[in-house]
Amino acid sequence: MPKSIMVDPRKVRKATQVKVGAIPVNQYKKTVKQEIKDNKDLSAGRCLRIYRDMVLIREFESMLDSIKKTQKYGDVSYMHAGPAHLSLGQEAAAVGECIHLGVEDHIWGSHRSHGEVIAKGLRAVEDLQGAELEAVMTSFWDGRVLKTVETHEPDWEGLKVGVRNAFKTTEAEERGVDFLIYGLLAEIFARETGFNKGLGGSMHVFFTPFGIYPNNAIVGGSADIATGSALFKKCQQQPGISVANIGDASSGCGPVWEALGFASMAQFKKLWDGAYRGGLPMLFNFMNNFYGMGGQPIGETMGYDFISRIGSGVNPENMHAETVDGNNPLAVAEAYKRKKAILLKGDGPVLLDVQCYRQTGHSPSDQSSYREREEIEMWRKADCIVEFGEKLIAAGVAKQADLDAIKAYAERKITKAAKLATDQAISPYLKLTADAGVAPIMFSNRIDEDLPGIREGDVLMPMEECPRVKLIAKKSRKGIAENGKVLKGNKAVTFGEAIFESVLHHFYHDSRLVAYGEENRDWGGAFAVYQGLTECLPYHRLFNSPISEAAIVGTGVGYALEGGRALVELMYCDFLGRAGDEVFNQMAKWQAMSGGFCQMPMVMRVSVGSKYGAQHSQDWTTLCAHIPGLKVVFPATPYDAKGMIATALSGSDPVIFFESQRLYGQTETIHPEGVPKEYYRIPLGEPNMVKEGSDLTLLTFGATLYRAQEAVAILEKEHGVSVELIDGRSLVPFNYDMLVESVKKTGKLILSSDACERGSFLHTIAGNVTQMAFDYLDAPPAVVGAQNWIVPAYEQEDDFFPQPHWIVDAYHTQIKPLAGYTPVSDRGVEALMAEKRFGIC
Amino acid sequence: MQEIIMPQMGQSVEEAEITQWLKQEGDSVAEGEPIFTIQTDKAEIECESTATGVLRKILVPEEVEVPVLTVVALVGAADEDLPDLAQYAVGTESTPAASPAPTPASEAAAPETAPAPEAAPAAPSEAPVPSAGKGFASPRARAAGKRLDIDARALPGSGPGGRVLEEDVLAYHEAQESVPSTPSARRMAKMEGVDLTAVPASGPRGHVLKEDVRQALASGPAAAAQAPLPEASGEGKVIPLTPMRRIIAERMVQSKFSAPEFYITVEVDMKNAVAFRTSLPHFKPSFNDLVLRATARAIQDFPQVNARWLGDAVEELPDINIGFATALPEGLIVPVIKQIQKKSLQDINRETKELAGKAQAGKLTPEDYSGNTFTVSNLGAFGVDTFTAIINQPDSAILAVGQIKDRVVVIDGGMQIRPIMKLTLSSDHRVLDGAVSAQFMGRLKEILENADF
Ligand SMILES: Cc1ncc(C[n+]2csc(CCOP(=O)(O)OP(=O)(O)O)c2C)c(N)n1
Ligand SMILES: [Mg+2]
Repeated sequence: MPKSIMVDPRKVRKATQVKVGAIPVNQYKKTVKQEIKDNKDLSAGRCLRIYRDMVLIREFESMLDSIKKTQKYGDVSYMHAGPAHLSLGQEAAAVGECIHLGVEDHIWGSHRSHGEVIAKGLRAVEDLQGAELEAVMTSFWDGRVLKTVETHEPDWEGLKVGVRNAFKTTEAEERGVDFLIYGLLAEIFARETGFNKGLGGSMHVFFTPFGIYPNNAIVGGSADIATGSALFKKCQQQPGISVANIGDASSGCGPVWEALGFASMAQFKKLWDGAYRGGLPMLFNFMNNFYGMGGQPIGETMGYDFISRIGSGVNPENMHAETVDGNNPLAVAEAYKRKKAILLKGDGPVLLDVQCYRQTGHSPSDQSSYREREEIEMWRKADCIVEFGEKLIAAGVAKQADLDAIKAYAERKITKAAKLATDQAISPYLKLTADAGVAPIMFSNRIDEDLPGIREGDVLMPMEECPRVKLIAKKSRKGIAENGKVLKGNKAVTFGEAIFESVLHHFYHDSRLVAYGEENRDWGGAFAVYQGLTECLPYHRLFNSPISEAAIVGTGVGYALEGGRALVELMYCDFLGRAGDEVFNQMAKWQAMSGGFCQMPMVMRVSVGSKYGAQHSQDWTTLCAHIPGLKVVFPATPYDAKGMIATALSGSDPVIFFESQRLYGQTETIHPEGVPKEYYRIPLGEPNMVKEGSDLTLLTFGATLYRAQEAVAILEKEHGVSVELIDGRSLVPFNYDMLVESVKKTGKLILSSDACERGSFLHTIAGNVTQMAFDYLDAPPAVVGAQNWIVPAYEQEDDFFPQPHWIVDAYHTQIKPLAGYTPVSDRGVEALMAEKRFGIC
Repeated sequence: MQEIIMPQMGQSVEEAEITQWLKQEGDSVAEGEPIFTIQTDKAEIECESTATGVLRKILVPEEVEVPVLTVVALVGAADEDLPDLAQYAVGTESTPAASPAPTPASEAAAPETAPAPEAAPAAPSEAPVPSAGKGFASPRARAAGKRLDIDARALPGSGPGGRVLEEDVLAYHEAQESVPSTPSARRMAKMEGVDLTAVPASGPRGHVLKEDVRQALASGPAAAAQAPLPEASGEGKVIPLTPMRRIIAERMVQSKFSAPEFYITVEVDMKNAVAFRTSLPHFKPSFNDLVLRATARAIQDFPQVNARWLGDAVEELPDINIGFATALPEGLIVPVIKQIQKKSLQDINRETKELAGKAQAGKLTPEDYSGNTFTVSNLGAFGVDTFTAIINQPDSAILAVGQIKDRVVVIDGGMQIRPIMKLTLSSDHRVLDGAVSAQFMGRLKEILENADF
């Protein structure tokens, strides 16, 4: 907490009242005629455009509904097994939202976002038409999407409708419309020609050149990610706002609340400096169709009467919350116009409750058993497209024939897209093999050899003047003195300082970098790795987050997807569960789910604890290594930590950077050359040969390395077993060359880490080595992990975490009995099986 | 001084006995000149000198069996000094105790009192004693075993539960290598998994001989599982085994215990064959030749019969090489007619005569009696009507041929007298099924009865 905010008991204890102001509901009253007369943004042409956009969405969703239910749409026959969450009835909400959004405004959506993709896409096509649009379309996937709609049934006949032909489209725009509809539909049908090569699909499809960012099948998933996008706009002074389109029922999701809190942090308006001061340009758009799948937030599963009420719990501005009539596109557009102005002024965030109604099921298979037919009928009577059409006719903007022409136009457009996207020859699937398709895009593997530099105001003092830099300069770079004595952390550079040095370097050479997490500023993180950074960096580069692990990671994901470089921190590995979705589904997935279009330059530092018992001492590297899409590293020496975090911060992939709390004060005793003062990078995925040997290979990850060194001493001095010790350093990626070569030499392998033995990643390595070097093995690889218990108190930790003699025991009982040795623990097969039966081992 | 060695005659020959020295010490001898004759498992062969000079020293006397590649003589200049002859004493092997001890090759080579076999090199005293394996060996140990031709699973292991580790195999190998032993003893020990360090040595200077290994095997746990061998009663005449006798015994036992045999007998009316045989103007094939020819033709129609069992597969062989069993006073031998499918009846007739002659004269080379894919055994000449033969492995079948004898047969409802021959096929059921063997025999019968040679 910054020293500038005084917690004054006199103020704190004063009697007063919290005042919650009024939250507007459905205040929009204007008619089409009035709007056209008063509002320069709402011409007759614009109104016809709105109608066209809604009809296109309606036709698109109807086509999917028909294909899902009857495997037919017009002449097109097709079976689609995948998802199709349709927004029939909600078109006005989507189109109304996008009327005032430019390409620089970025929307992030949900599983039900086809409508928003079309609405935002049409708006972008209109805005970009001309050279810009052509450049986007011809460069995207080397022009393949465009070529498909150009080569087959090119139909660029524009619309010309309305009284006095108030709405006309050009050929250039029509090309864009076809590009958009086809790219979206091919993606829904999982085709290589889709916007995301078919790797996103219906619930995830997106197209960033039009400002359409990932849609998320995890309900509410976009809330914190979009907040990260808004954070990027603020920190990098980018134009536009960020919008999270999430459902009403997602208001029950923890990460959504975390996002609301994160986006509303007082520091943006009170502590951040200069141009950076002001609220995030973030708009939470609740698409309120009154249902989850079947549950009803209002009246059943939540306590509020209006979603907009949430705003009053978040900040004094009530988040400028408002409930608007999502059945009327003009009401939504009007709200957006006002809210966008608030956001651009720096008074965000904003919460909008856009009331609408989903006329069909949650998905086409839904029987709507949870609602009365009568209710659906009432909403059908108030259908937003019919209603708006009537208003256009009433306002004298259009005749019925114009509306019919628009409907015919929509059918033509959607039929073409449906024909092309279901044709296997025109729209093939991406070939997925071991080395083609998804495999090469799981990671982007870019390294910025040269960092881009920083901007004015990104740092507060020259790097040399940083007090901590001066302090470290006095220390030995090596952990072992000339006389062989091991130096303590007060005399030599520590693990924590080594990380600090690389992070500092990046802060002084890469303006894209921001770091945040709990107690990151002032305190420097719970383990003071960032100590000294506060003096060097302004708020917009280093700040304290709320205790919101999901939002910490989720915002990092959004920040990185926007092109920033996020360095976020989880105080303890044990808190990873709180950010489970953000780590496992978001951080890990979007590179591949974009079809390789996006990158995820994001580093999450996670400390592995000890001493604090069951919920503060767990090594969960294995959980992370299990998830495809994450790089998972666990350096154990200062030299490695400094070089590896530099690589992580220079790369384009999401890296989970584990650090053991046992090691923050560790000096460099493994690498004899010590920790170089200069900046350097160590490639991720290369294990380190700590010591060569001939009889046994011992592989460790993390702090276990130092206990393994003791085991080596016992084995070598007391039993004459020569041990080759390898520090794995990185779980994913992991280059097996050194390990396999070593096992070929020794024939014997023990693997050890502080992760619980059951399901440990060590077993994956053991299994792989068994495949790669079976004929060289002289014994089964022995895994020495932590017990499969809860972590006990500090005083009893030695019974829990691998100890030197456990490794010797494993050698004795599983590899080769040692003369005159009495094992301390029973690691025999029978004991193992008995414990497993009991669910322990 | 140049060494003359006992040559390797054919792959399976491990040891041979010099039946006669054609040159004596002091004789001069030229390279390529016959110098001694040997008796191998199956045949007597003349061996040529590989050096020119004076035969200075005969190291192996006649009628002593020595491993192949043993130095048997030294040839050099007349006045050259002889080297230390002790080094050549290794290969001599004593004959079984029941026969009189052979004359030692020379004084120098006289066996010293065989020292008690050295105990296996003691493992470092504090190391746990490798426990008798349960037959488990690590992949690495097995790989080492394969490399060194050692069955790793047969060794005691020092891993947990007696698992055999690579080091156990290497230690065993080193120990075996360090035991003074003859090459044939080492080969046998390896094949049979006998630990040489535990075999009492009876050879000169503590060398383990093949006989020692054999005895260790007989007294070892493996032998115990079989029926105990009787002791000599002392009343009868004990006939030491000739190499040929021993080989026959080993092969037949192996065949009988590995191949599940079944038997099919057919009667063949040889009327037309008899007529055919006498009708030929230029030569007169034997009935056996006719059977060989017919068999070759039948095999061409049923190539499954011309196959061998590989353990995990069956290999059908392209060439038909038919062996025909030939009785000799000291046992039997099976010369082979190679690629018989390419040969005319006249060729077959000539070749059988040639080979039979060589066999009787003991002049067959190993090439002559190896490579068989099928065997015919004919005991007709001994007045045998019908019999079953044991398969001559690696063949998968053997044809037993009985005599041709006039018998009463019923033809078209009437009794007739016809020359009848009974043929019995023994088939290895792993390779051949009853139906195939039956069809093969049917075809053979058809060829013979139609004299369709
Ligand atoms: C975290 C998570 N929980 C549950 C689901 C399953 N699910 C998919 S859609 C849905 C209902 C979402 O309702 P809402 O947020 O109102 O969006 P809507 O479907 O109404 O657009 C549920 C429960 C999910 N996808 N993600
Ligand atoms: Mg909903």
